[in-house]
Amino acid sequence: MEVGMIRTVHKLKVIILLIVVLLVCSGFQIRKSSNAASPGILSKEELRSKKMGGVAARMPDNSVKILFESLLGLKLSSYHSYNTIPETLTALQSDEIQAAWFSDVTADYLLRTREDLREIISPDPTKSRLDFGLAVKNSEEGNVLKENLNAAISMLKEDGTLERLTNEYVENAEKAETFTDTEMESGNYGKTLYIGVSGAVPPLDSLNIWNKPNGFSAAFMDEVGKKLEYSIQFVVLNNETMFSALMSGRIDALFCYGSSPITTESEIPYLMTEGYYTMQKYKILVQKEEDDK
Amino acid sequence: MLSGKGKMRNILKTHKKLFIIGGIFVVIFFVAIFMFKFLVKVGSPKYIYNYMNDTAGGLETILYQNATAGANAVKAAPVDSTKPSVFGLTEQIQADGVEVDNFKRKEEIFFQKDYIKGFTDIEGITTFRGDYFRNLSSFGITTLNEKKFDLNYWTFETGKVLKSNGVDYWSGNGWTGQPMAVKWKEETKSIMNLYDNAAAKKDLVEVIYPGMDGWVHFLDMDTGKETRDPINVGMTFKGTASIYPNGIPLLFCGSGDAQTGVYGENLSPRFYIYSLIDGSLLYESGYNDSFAPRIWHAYDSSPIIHTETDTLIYPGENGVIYTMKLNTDFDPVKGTVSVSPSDTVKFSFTGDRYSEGGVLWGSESSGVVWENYLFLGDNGGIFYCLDLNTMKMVWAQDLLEDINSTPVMEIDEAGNKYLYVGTTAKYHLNEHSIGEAGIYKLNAMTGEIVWCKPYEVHYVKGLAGGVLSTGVVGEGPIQDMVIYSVSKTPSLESGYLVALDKKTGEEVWRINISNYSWSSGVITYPANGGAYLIQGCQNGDLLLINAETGEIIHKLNFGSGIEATPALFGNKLVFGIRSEKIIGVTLK
Repeated sequence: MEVGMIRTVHKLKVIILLIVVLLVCSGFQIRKSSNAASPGILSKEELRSKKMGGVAARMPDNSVKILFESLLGLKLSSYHSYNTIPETLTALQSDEIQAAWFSDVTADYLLRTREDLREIISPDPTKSRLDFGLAVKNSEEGNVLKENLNAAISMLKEDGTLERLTNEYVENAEKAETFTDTEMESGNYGKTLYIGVSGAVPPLDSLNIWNKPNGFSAAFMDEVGKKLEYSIQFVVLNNETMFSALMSGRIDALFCYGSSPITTESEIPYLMTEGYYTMQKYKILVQKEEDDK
Repeated sequence: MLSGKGKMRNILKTHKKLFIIGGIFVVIFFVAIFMFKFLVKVGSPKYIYNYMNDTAGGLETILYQNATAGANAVKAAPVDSTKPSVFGLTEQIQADGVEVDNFKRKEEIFFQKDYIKGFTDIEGITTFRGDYFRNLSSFGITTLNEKKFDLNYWTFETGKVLKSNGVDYWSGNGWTGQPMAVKWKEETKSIMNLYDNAAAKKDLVEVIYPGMDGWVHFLDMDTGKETRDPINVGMTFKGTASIYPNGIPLLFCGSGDAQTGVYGENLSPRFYIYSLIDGSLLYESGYNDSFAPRIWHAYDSSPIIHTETDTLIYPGENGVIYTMKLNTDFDPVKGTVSVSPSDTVKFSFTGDRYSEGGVLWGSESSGVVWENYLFLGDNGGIFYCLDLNTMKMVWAQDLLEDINSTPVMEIDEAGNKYLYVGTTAKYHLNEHSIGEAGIYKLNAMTGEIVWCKPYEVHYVKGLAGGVLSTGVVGEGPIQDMVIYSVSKTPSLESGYLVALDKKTGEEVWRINISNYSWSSGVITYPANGGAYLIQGCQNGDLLLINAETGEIIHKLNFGSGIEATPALFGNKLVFGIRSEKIIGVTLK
C-alpha cells in the first residue's frame, strides 16, 4: 500500500512538472509573439526576412515562397498558406505573418472594406497577369462544356451584362445588395451544372456567413445558366481540394481559376474558358499599426 | 549452472532456426534499402542497364568524299542532297503580321568577316563565344606563367526561381549561361547607373550576367563586388545574352521557362531588351506567339545584332526566328537610349518529322552569321542555312539528332568555309536507351557533311548524352584541331574531352573525365606561347589543359556542377555554378 502510494505521488509530481513546463513554454511563446509584433511595414524593402502568407495555392508553400521572393526581389523568412481569406487575415492581425498576398481585386476590396490594412506598393507588370475564368476538366465532355461556357460569356460581354455585374458586385461590392442562390432565376431547367466555389477570391468568389456563394459568382452564374438553360448548383469546397473535386468529376467546373495562354509543354489536365475578369498583379497587404488606422 | 558462454550456446542451439530466419530478414531488409536507393537514383528499372554498362564510346569516323568541293564559293547554294525539299520541309514567313510567300529585305544585311570576328568598338565578351563565328571565348591578353588557377577566387551569391511545374526550381547558372564581360568606354560609363566606386574605377571590367535566378547581376570582374543595382526580371535565364556590338548600352536576353503562379497561370517566356544606362525594360516580345509551330516558348539562343542596319536576329525554341529593325536611338550626351522595333519578319519551318512530344521544332543553340547567311541547328536534327535577305532556306542537312551545340565557323586561308557542330542522342535510341551523337564538319556553302565522328552515349531520365557544349576551332599552335566535350560516355556519369583533326575527324588526343561536361571550353593562346583549354565539369571540377597535348595541368573543384560556359578577359575567368554562386578565378 505504501509503495503504491509512493508511486502514485511520484506520477503526480511528474505530471505536475510537465504541466508547469508546458505553461511556461506557451507563456514564453505568447510573450515572444507579442514582443515580436513588428512595427508597421511601409515599404517593399521592409518585407525582407519577414513571414508571408496567403490562401493555399496549387503549389507547395516553399514554391510560393520562391515565387514571391522572385516577384518582390528579396528574401522572405518563411511562407505559410491558409485555407481561407479570414484565416489569412487573422494570421496577419496576430502577427503570425507580417504580409499576405492577394489578387488585386481581392486586395482592393479588402482595402475598401477594412481600415486595418495597407498595401505595399510593388512593381507593376508590363502586361496583366491572368484572366479569371472557369476551369473544366480536359476531356471530351469538358471541351463541349468549355465551348458552351465561352459562348455564354461572349454573349454576356456583348450585351453589357458582364460589365454591369462587374460594376455592381466587384467594383462596388460593399454597397451591393445580397445575391445568393435563393435569388437566382436559373433554377428550373432539366440539366444541372455543378460549380465549385471556395470563397478564396472575394468579391469575385465570396461566401456569406452561411457559407453560401454571394454576389458576383451567384449573379454571374445565374446569367450563364439562363443563357445555356442550365440549373446551377454551387458546391462549396476547400481551396486546397477543389481541384481534385474537378478532376474526380464531383463538379463540372471551378468558378474562379486563373488562365493565361499556355506556352509550356506540361500536360494540362484542365481547360480554361474565356476570362470574365482580368487580374493585373498580385498585391501585398500588411497590417497597419494601431495609431495608423 | 551454465556459464555465460554456455548460456549463449544453449540459446543459439534452442533457437537456431529463429536466428537463421532473423538473419535472412535483416539481409533482405538491407538489400531492399539499397535497391530502393538505387532505384530512386536510377529513376526507372529500364535505366538499370545504363548504370551497370558502358557504351562503346568513340566509333569509327565517317569521311565523305568530295564534300569539300565548293567550300570556297562566295555564295551558298545547295547540292542535290541538301535541298530543303529533300527533307520535306515547308517554310513560313510572316512580315509585319502578314504571312507571305516571298520576302525581300529593303535594307539588306551583310555580315563582313572583320565585323563578325571581334567587334572593334567595344572591348570584351558581348555575345556567346565572343563573336558571331562563336569562336572567341577569351578577350585580351592572357599570361600563363605558373600555368595554374589562383586559389584565391571570389564568389558572389545568387539564388533561385520557380520552375514552370510549380514544384522544382532553377538555381544559380546553368547551360549555356555564359556571362558578358565588358570594359566600357569612360564616356559610356559616365551615363550609366554605376555605383560611385565602380564609376570611378579606371579599367573597370564589368560582368553582366543574366542567371537562372531570374536576375541580371552586374559585378566587378576583379573583385566580384556589385557595380550597380541588379535587374530583377523574375524569369529564369538559361541561355546567353548579347550586348549591342558597337558599344550602345543595350542588353538582349531571353528567358528559358515560363513563370507559373498561384492561380495556375503561366507567363510565357519572352526576350527582352534592357537599357544598360538605367536598367529599365525597353521592349519585350516573343510570348504567346501564334505563328510558332511549337507550344513551348523559350529563348536560350544568344541573339545577333547587325549594327549597320540596326537589325536584331533572335532564334527561338518555339521554332521561330525573329528579325526586326530596332530603330535604336542613343544619345550619349543626354545619356538616353531607346528602341522602337518595327519591320518584324519571322521565319519558321516544319515537316513530317515534327510533332509535340516527338521530334521537336526550335533552336536552343545560337546561330552563326556570315555575309547574308544565318547558320543554325534545330531540336529536330535539321541544320540549315537561311538567307536573311529573303528569309528562305538555302540548304539543309539532316544530322539525325537534337542539335544543342552552337555551330562554329571557320574560314581557312584558301577561303574555304566550314562549320563544326555536335548533336545529342535523343530520337534514335536502342532498347537500352543508348544512341549515337556526332561531331560534324560541314561545308558551309553547300551543307554537305565533310566528316562525322560518332560517339555512343547514354540517354537517361530525359537527360541526353552527346555534345551539348560548343566546340573550339583551334588556331595558332592547335590550328589543325577542333576540341569538343562529349557527355554520358562510356559510362552514364563520365565523358570525353576530345581533340579531332580538322581534316580527317580522327582523334588527336582524348581525355576521359570521370564527370561529363556540358560547359563549353574556353581556349586561350597566352602571350608566352601555347594553347590552353579551361574546361568546367558537372562535378564542379575546373580543368586547365594543355590543348596541344591533352594534359591536365591544374584542377580546382567548386563543389557543384559547372554547366555554364565561362568568359575569360585577360587573366580573369568568370562563370556561374548551379549552387547559386558566381565565381571569379584568376589564371596565373
